[in-house]
Amino acid sequence: MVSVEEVRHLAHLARIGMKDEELRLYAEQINEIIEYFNMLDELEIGNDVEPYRMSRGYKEMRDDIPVAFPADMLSNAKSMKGRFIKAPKMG
Amino acid sequence: MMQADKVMIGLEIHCQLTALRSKLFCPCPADYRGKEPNVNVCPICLGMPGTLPLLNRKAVEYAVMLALALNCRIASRITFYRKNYFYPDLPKNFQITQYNAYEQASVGADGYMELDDPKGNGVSKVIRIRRLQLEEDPGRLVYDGSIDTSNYALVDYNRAGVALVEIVTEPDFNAPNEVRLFLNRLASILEHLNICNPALDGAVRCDANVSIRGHARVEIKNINSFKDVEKAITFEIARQRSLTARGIEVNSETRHWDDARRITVQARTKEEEEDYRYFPEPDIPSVILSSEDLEVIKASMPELPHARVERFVRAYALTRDTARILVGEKYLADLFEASLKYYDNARSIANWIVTDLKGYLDRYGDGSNGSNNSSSSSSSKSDSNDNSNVNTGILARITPKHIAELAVLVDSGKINRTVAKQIMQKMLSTGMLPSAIIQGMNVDMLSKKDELEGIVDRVMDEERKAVMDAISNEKILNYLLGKVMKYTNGRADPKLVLSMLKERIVDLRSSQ
Repeated sequence: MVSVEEVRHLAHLARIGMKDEELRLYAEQINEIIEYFNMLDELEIGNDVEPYRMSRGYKEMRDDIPVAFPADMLSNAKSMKGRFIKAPKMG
Repeated sequence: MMQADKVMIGLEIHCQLTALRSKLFCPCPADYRGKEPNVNVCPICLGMPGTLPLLNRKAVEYAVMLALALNCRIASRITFYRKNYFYPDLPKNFQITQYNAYEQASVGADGYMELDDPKGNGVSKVIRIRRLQLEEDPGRLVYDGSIDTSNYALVDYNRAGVALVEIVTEPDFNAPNEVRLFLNRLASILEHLNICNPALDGAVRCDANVSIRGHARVEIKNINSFKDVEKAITFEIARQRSLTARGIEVNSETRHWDDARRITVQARTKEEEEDYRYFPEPDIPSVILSSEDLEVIKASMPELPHARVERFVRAYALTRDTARILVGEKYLADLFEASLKYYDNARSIANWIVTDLKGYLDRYGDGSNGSNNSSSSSSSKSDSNDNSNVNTGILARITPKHIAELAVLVDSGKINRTVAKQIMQKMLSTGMLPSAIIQGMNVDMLSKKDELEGIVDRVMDEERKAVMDAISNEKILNYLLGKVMKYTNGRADPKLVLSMLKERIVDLRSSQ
């Protein structure tokens, strides 16, 4: 079970301010989601099943060829100074 | 040193794969130095929703090479993880990195590096490598004015997503000088593999864990050049010793190296390891590295420094010391081998490079614009600090032909070493070839008796007291020789002058 205190800590790590009632609401919802996943425990899959992991061969990786992105990404930035993106100072 | 006082140091080193042309997970150009802010960015490295990172194969190849050079076990399945933290230098709020909690996901693990005994007696120490992994570099933050007075951070994401190799050692170092030996050797390996240019500003960064046995461990971050690592560790050991000597417990904390004040200062506490909430990166499939892939990479690896030293000793009959000095800085070793094509006398060429050229560089530097670190406290004008990879100093001017010509001029008896050193100075400052410098100077060695008779007689005449002393004390001859050299601007053949002076003294003695 995820506690309200754990959600408070997560909110702090993500630098999101939350009221106590919001923390209680999200803790409840997170627990519901986790409990939903518990259904997977009831599946009969046998003992010799390898977990599926997505993989690719080394040769299939991308070549080291530089391509500049054609559009100026800065048009999406909310706050700029010159060509720098302005961000809050982390205290 | 008392055993109870034993110092333990571990390193965490970040090397940018500067030889790569594109970033680790997107095709944006990787060369961000000297660029306008935020020009090398795309939806992938800015972490836009719906984008898919694609791994750069060359980055894997380079990381495998380095892992092999450090004797690591190579993972057959290379997996990436998300390391979550909230800071503006990473637009995604997580860094794509590797994590070895469940199996070896990192490119390399359990390697080692042997440190040569500085006195030349084989291997003095083995430093174990815990892991070697690939990860993305964060962006660069700068502040208007200083970090303390500015109300906001300015972010440049050109560096975000550039490929880094992180190397983590076990805490096997017991003294700062061992760290220096390790880092020098690592730099030489990086240069020989041609995957990272350690001379570039910010291309190699190092954090250090320092503790005194029985006390808490302190992590030092923000050391922006290999040169400063030894200084930062030396300071930190002294700080911890002075605390324990007064019975004050060392705090387990993170400290920053303050480059300007040459001290470590307490840093704000960041996330704990468990707060990073590592989990497998779902967007990047694991890379399967077959044994054939590994063989192909192995076969393409350039000669490593250790092998090069042995070859220099074997093929050119150099002493191991000389070979190590040459190979310690790849450009010296390259210059040495290239110069041999013009003049096939390995010992003579090696001597000019190791004694004279390196001596000059050690004393005066290369003369190129020094690199500044601009990571934390610089103003927004400071991005020109990131120098491009152009050597503007002495080494850009000196070719193998320069070294070969100089050696030939001396070995053929055309000039003596004193004159040759003058020519070298001029050659280093102007880039002119020795043969051209000689034409403008009156420097041909005076090696005929009749050319020198007049000057020797003049010195004998002017230095009567010294001459009388020399009759009973032959050491005084060197003083007289010095006078002759001075009058000839160093051009006289010193052996000949000495024999001429001796003749005259013997004559004087017998006539007394």
